[in-house]
Amino acid sequence: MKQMNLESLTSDHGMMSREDTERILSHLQEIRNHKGSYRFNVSSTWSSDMRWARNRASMTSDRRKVMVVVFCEIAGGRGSAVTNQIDNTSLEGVLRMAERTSLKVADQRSTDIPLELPPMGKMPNATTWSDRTINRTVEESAKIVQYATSLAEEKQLLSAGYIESHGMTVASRFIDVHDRMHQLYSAMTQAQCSATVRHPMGTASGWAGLARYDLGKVDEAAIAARAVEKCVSSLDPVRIEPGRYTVILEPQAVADLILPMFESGDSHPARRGSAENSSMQNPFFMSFDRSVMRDISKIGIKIVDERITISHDPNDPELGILGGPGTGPVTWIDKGVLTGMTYDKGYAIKELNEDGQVERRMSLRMEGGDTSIDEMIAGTQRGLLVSRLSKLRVVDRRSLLMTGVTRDGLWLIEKGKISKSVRNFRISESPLFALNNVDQLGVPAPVYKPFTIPEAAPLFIQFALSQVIVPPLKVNDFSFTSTIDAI
Amino acid sequence: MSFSRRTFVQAGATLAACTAIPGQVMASANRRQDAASEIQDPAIKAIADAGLDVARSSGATYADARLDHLYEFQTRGTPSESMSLGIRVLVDGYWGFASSPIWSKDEAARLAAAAIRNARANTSGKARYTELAPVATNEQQLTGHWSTPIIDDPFEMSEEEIADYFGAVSIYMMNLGNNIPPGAEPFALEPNGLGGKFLKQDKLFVSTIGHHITQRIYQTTGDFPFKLKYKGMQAMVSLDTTTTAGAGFEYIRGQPIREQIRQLVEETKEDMSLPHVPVDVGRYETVLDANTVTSLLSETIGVATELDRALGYEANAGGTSYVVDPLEMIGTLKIGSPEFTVTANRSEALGAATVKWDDEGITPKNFTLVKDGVLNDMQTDREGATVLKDVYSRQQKTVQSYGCSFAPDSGFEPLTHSANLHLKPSSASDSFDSLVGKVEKGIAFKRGGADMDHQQISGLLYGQAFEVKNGTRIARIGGAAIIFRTPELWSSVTSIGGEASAKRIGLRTSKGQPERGAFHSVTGAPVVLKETTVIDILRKA
Repeated sequence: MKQMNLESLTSDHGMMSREDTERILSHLQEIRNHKGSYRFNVSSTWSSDMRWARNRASMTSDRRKVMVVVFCEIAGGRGSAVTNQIDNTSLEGVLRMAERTSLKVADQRSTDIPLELPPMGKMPNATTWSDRTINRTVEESAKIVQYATSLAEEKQLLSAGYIESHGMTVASRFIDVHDRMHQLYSAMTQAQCSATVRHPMGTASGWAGLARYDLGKVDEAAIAARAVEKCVSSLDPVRIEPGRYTVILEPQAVADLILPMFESGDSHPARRGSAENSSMQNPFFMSFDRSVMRDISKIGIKIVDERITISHDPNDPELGILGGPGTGPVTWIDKGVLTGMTYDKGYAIKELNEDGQVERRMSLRMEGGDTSIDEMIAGTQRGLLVSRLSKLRVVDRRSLLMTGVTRDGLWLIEKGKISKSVRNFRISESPLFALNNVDQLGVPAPVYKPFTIPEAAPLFIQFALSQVIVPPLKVNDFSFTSTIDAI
Repeated sequence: MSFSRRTFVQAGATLAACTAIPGQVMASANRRQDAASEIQDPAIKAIADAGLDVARSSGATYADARLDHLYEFQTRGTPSESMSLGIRVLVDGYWGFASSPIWSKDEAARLAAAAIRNARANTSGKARYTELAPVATNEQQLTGHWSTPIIDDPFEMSEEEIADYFGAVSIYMMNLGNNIPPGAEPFALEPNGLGGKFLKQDKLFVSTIGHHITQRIYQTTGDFPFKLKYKGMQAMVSLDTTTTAGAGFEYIRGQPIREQIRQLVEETKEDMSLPHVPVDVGRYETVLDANTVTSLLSETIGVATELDRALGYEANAGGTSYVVDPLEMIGTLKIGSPEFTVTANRSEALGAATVKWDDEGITPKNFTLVKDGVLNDMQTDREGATVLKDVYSRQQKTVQSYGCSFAPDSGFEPLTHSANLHLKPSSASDSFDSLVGKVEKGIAFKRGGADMDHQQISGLLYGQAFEVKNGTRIARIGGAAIIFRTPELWSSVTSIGGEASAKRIGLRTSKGQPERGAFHSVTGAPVVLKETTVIDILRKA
C-alpha cells in the first residue's frame, strides 16, 4: 500500500490540505456499496494553546484532531459512524458501519441525524480565515504570558489565563440517490485570550477576554491589563442588600444574559410549527391553537423594547463569512418585534410555500446606541455596574427566567460615580424582562464567546462559529436575589 | 465497537493511500473486536518509546506518552472510534504537550519535539519550580495490565441484542398502564428515549520513570426516562439505578429494571396525588434524599477539594474553591457536623472513576477528604502532592499523589479530577421515609441538584420539594429552592441514613481549557439538615 502524503497533517499548523481531504471524500464515494444518499464530512483541526496560573505558564500544548463522519440514507433507514483514522481500512470500516446501520434501522429513527440530507444546489463555501491567527508561534504566546503575569506580579496579584490559536477545515460531500454530487469546503481560524487576576488572599477578582477569528483583532496586552485593573478596583468588596437595582451591564454581561435566548433548542426563537405543547415551554410562542392544531408563534408581535434589533448577516465581515443552506441573513428581533425564527425545509414548503429554511447559528449582532458607559454611570443616581455573569440556568422556560451569579467585578454607583466594590450576587432575571426595561444603549462591541466544537460531528462550521457583538445596556429593575460568598 | 478487524500498529503506522483501494474486501464491521491483548503489543510501546527517546535526549527531566483507542456507542446514536497519541514533557519546570491521531514512531518523535518546543518557549523567562511526588518503583507498580471487570462486553454484543433489550423495556412501560384492576385510578407510561451509552477505551501509559501500563476501561450508562400520566397530570421521571458506572452491559441487565420501574411508578403516583402548595419562604428543617445528597457532594466536596482548583490553576476556567489556603485549612477547616465524613477512592467496584493506574501511572489511594466534619485532605496529582509537603510532614504522612490524574483521551493532557466519593452512612438504619418521619414541620427534597458559584461555596439547591408535617410529606411545593453556604449546609446535618438507604450515582464534572469532563461515582445516604433557608425560585427580588 502506498503511504499517504500526510505532510499537511504533520506540518507546523497541522490541518489536512484541501487535496488530502478531497482524496478521502473521493475514496469514500468510490467504495459506496449501496444506492442511497450519502454525506461525508472530513474535518481537521489544529490548536496551539498556553495556559497560565499563579503567574507562570502551566501548560503549553499543540493538538491536532481529525474527524471523518459518514451519514447515509438507504431505503429509508439512516445510519452514521465516526472515526479519526484515515487509512483505507478505517475508512472502509466507518462507511460499512454506517451503511449497515441504515439498512438495519429503516424502522428505528435516529434522533441524532437531521431529518433530511441538505439540498443539492448552490452552497457557497464559507471562509473565516486569518493567516495571522494561524501563524502565531508558541514563542510569541510565551511573550504575552510573560507580559500578563508580570503586570499581575507588579501589583502582587495572581494571574491565570489562556490563549489559543485555532484552525479548522471541514470538507463535506453530498451524494444523492441519482449520484448527483455537491461539495462544500470551509476553513476557519479563531484566536482567543482570557485572563483572571485574583488577589492572593482571594479578596478580589478581575477578568477580561475576547475571541475573534482574526488575531489582529484581539489585543492581548489590553486584555491582560484590563483583568489587572478590574481586580485592583474590586478589592475589599462590601456587602449590600439584595433587591432590584438599576444596572449597567457591560457588553460581556449583556451577551451572557441574552445568549441563552439563542443557544438552547428550547428557548431559541425556535422551530416554527413545532409540536403540541411547545408553547407551554417556549417564550416565543403564545399558545396552542386547537382549531389548526398548531402553536401560534409571536412572529410580528413586539416582545422587547423597540430599540432592540438582533440579527445575523452571513456577509458581515465582523461576524465572519458563512455559507450553507439556511444561513442567509436573518433578523431575529427587529425594533423590538419578533421577526425571525428557525424553520426547516419541510415547514417552508408546507406552510410558507417556499423552498428554503432558516438554521440556527451562534453568531449575532445586536444594535446599540451612542451612550458611553461613563455617561451611563454619570446619569445613575444609585445602581450597579456589572462586568460579567456566569453559571446561568433557565428555571422557567416559558418566561426564560434564569438564575446565575455575578463575578469578576461588581461596583455600586452612587450619585453618578462608582463608589465602592460590592460582594457578588445571585441574580434571578429573564433576558426578555431585561430587554423590556432598557434605559440606555451603548456602542456594540465584540465579546468573549469562543466556539465550542459540538461533541457530535460538526456538520457546518457556522454551527460552531460564534462572533457575538452586543452593546452595553443600562437596565432598570434588575433582580438580585441574594449575596453570594464567591469572589 | 471496532469498525474493522486490524492490528493497531498497521492502522497507525501505515496510513495508506486513499486512492488505492485495498485488495481484500472487508467482511469487516461486524462489531467483533480485536483481542484484549493488542494494546499490550510491544510494537505499540515502541511508538511511545520513540517519543520518550526524543524527549529524553532533548533535555526533558520527565516525560510520559499515552496512546489510547476509544470506542463509543449509544443506542440510536452515532458510533465512533478514535485513536490518539499524546506526549507530555517537563523541561526546567515548564510543561509542554502535543497530541495527534497518528500512531507511528515518526509521529511520536515529532510530537515529543513539539512538546519540548512548547515547554522551552517559557524556560528563558521566569523560573518555575516544579516538583513531582515520588513514584514507588517496584516492578508491580510500574508495569502491568488491568481491565475494568465486566461480564457482558457491550462491544461484543450485537446491536440487535442491545436494541431489543431497551425495546422490550419500552413495551413493558407502555403495557404497564393497560392492566389496571377495575376501580383503580388509570395511569399511562410513555417511554421517552430509552437507551444505553457505552464506552470502551484501551490505554497505554509509558514514562521516563519506567512505566509500561496498559488498561482497558469500560463505562456503561442506562437511560430509562418516561412520562407518567396520572389523574390528569403528567410527570417526567427516570430510573437512577443505572447512571454511569465502570461496568459492562451486565450492570443494566443484571438489575430488576421492571420491578424498579413499577416501584418508581408507585412512588411517583403517590407524590402526584399530594396537593400542590406555593412556597412559604422561611427557615425549615430539611430532608434530602440520597440522590440529592450525591449531587451536592460531587460539587461541594468533590470539585472543591481538587487541589489545582484550590491553588488557582482553574481560576480562569472551571473555578476556584472555598479551600483558599489548603496548607492552613487541612486539619482545621470545619466543613460539616461531626457525623460528616467523606472518603475518596478509585478502586470500588462499579465506580465510574475506578482504574488501577491514573493517567500519571499512579495506583490511586483510598483517602479521607472530610473527617468528622473537618477538611482532612485534598485530591492530588504528582505535582499537587508536593505542594502539600509541609502538611504531610506535620501529619507524618508520605508525600504521594492520591492518583486523581485523568484525561478523557490522549488528546488532552491530564488534570486532577474527582475520585469516587463516599459519605459515611450512619450505623442506625434510617431511610429517606424514616428520616422524614422524624420531622415535625419541614421540607423534603427528592432528585435535587445544585447550582454552585465559581468557588463552590454559595449554592442554590432545587429539586422536587415537599412540605413535611408530623413526619409525613403532605404536599408538593412548586418552585421551592434552598440557598446555602457549603460549610453551613453540611454543618447543619443532624442525621444521616443507614447504609441500605445510600445510592451510588455516576456524575460528570468538567474543568480545564480546553474544557473536558470526567465521570465519578458518588455514594450518599439521605440526610436531615437542622435548618435551611427556603426561597421561591420563580419569584424575583
